[in-house]
Amino acid sequence: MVILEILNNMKNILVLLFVFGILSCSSEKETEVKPDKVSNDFKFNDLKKEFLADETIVFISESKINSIDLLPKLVVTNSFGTIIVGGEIANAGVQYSLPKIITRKIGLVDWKLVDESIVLQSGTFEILPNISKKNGLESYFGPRSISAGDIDFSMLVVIPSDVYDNPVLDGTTVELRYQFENDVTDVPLETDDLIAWYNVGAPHKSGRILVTALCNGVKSKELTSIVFPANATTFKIDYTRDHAYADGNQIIRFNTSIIKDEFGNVISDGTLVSFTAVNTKGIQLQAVGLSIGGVAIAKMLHPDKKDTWKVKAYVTGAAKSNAINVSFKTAFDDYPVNISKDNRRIIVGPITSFMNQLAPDGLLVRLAINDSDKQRIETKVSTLQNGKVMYYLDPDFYPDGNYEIEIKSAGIVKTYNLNLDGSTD
Amino acid sequence: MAARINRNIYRGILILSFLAVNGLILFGISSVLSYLNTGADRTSMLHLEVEREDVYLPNVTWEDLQNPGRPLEKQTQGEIERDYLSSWYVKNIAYKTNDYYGVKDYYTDSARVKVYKTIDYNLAHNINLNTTTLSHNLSLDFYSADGKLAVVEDKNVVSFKEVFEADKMVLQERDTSSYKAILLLEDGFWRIRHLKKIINDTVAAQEKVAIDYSNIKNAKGLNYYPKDSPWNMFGKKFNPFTIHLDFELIKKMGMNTIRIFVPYEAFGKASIDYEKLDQLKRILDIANKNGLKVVVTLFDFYGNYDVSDWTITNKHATIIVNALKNNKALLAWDIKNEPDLDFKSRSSTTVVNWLKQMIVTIKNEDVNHPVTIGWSSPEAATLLVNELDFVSFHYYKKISDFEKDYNKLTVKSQGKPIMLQEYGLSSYSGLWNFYKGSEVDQADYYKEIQPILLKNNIPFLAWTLYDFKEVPSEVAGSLPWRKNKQHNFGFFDINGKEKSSYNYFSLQKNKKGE
Repeated sequence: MVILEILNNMKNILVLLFVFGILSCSSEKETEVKPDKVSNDFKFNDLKKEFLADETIVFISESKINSIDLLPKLVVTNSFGTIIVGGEIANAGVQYSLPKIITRKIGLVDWKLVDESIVLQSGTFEILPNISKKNGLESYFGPRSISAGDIDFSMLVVIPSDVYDNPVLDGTTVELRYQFENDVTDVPLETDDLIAWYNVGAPHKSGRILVTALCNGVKSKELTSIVFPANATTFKIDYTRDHAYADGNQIIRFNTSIIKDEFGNVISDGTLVSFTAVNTKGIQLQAVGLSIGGVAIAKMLHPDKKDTWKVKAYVTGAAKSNAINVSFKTAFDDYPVNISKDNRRIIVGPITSFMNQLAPDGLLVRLAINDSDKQRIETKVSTLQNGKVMYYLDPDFYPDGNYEIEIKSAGIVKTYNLNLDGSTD
Repeated sequence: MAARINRNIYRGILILSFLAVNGLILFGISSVLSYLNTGADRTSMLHLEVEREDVYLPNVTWEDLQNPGRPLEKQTQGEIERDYLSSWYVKNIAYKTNDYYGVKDYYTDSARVKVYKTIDYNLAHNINLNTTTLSHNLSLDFYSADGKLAVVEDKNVVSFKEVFEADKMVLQERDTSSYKAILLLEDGFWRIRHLKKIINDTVAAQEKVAIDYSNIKNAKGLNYYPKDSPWNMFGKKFNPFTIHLDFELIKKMGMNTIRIFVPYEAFGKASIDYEKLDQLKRILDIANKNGLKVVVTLFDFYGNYDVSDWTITNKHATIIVNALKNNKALLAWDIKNEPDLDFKSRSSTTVVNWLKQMIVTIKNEDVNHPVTIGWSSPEAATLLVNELDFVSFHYYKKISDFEKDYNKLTVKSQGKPIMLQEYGLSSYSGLWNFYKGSEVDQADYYKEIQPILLKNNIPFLAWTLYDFKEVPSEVAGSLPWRKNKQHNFGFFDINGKEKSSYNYFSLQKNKKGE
């Protein structure tokens, strides 16, 4: 059995050996027979070190080579990539002319003359921008909205280029011109690191800056930057109202003075101004207004009881106003309360206001009901309608007994002791 | 009777075909449903960030961020770097395949035309470029106030390119060039507007540090894997205690050097597995404690070598070299084990180019430790002698030829030290070698070769300490006559018992035995 296995294996090994033998034979390297090698003294005539973009660049060698297949290859690398240029046989010798993708792109160009992976000759030349023809001028301006004052600015960056879209040489003059209102300013610039740039500082006045640049006779398009007013400064507020009574019905209007920035520019329309009123209880009321023409207006409802407000306005994060006090007189000193015979129906009113007119609808009237131990049972809240409010103490909820009721409206509190005795009317 | 059987057969066939038809229908419906469910995954609504795969990681440094415009934000710096490198990557790929794909994302309208024209030219002339850039040194010249334009200088970009015409290589070169680029922020991409090749900065030549070769010349030791986890000593199988005992044992044998292997993929390629890196450091620390020096062999089981993979392997090497370069136990960097065996499958130029650039990369990071390559034979070891600090070769041939081969190599080694980095004989005896091997043969092998090595002062690292129970098929292939041999190269058998070869290898004569 074992012997059989060994024999089997030997067979396998023999087959493998055979196959391996064939493989190793076939993979043996074929020695290449080269026809007539190009001699190592194949040399180009001296070449210029600098060319202008789109100038014809031809490598010429006087070496005599008869077959185009034998010509060494010229490997050329510029800023963007590498190509191979094949030679041509001319009368005088051999020449290699570089294609436009090389001659039109500025920057250093490396070349290597290669034959069968051997570098015969190598060198570098530079292509310079060609500004003899009309050129291009790309301009970038930003930020496009700035605020007046000495801090903010818009930056103009221009990239002058030649007609083949190559940035021009450093040190090229660029004329920058900017206008604000009636002033036109010229700034001479020079390119550096492929670009020229200038910070147009914001004037103290709001408005619009126009910028343009000029290079080699080519003008850029007009670019603008809007100068917005700077931050608001301290302002004043005032109010108007129809009367001083705390009737919970009329509206008080607050307005700011014309809000300006530190340079006297009226702040931008739409600036949010928030008005804060603090009443005698320390509760804050708030209203907001957007400025138009520097003035912001906000409205609030009169309180329904005597009160004094301390009002202040803010442009959040920028400015605040003076504080003003606004007092409201009480609209009425007293009001009648009628209680039915069975003490279950309570009518508050008619409440008359400062001119003996009926107090406006919606005035809050609160009725609190305590039991005989002064424990609160219920608070009923209702609003005035036609000068009156009616409450009914339902026998299903309020069985006979002694109760104390407390009526409150416009800050005036009236207390009654009621005896609900079940005698119906 | 027969009719009944027949009827049952018919019934059976009917039922089975019914089931089969139903099964087919169900299968059809389910595949239609699953087809309709493919495509838009619900999570795609969330626009989760797509993870970028590491395909191109050249070494990037930023030198100077001072500029007259606006201070560069850290975030923008990262974005500019990412997109600028991507512009190189897409261009490299475009020139390799002569396809426009991806170029428009990283070049503005007018700039991409220039790339396209080059592609068109190369396509027409059957030219392909296999290019990569290895390092970029960026500095910022200008960053505009509105944050939409940047001028960047990229000095001394090291690149490598292979130029092919009609699939025949015309030129391969390592090149250093500098560029000035204007980048514009468009659609959230920093795109190249202008790219101009400029004159290189002169770089001060790196000072040559004299390397001390005495430890190389006196190296005596072996290649090391733990007994139970050969070719797989990191990760879960890492056991510092076993390693410590083994190193003690190696020291007791009178040895002073070991060679260990860092598997490339298991270490996470470019995104290094730091747990494993710590284990590697730990091994060197244990070696240091036991007075052993370590030859670290990188890129084990690596086999791509393509130019497009260079930046990834460089990143891998850079991280490991920097992690270990100050470790006292480190003796030398061995870039790759037996790379010459890949010459057939990957072409020798590709492999040699990769090795060449890797030598430069490692020397850039660590000037103090010598660099070598573990060639599989003395013939292959004549390659790259110029670039390497010392020559390493492996010898598994007849001992009788050894001195001749060694002397031949000495002539070509330019006086650089030569290390016999792997040698040995398997004591395997079995079907696959007709029961020819034996422990006695192995012992005889060492009995014969050790005096030659000692006499000629040849530094040696034998293969290996232990016999291994398991050998992964990546190591020696799955052919049993090769694989089985690999089990029995040790001085100790799988039970940890000394084999007779031990006495001829160990420099400390056996104390307990004799």
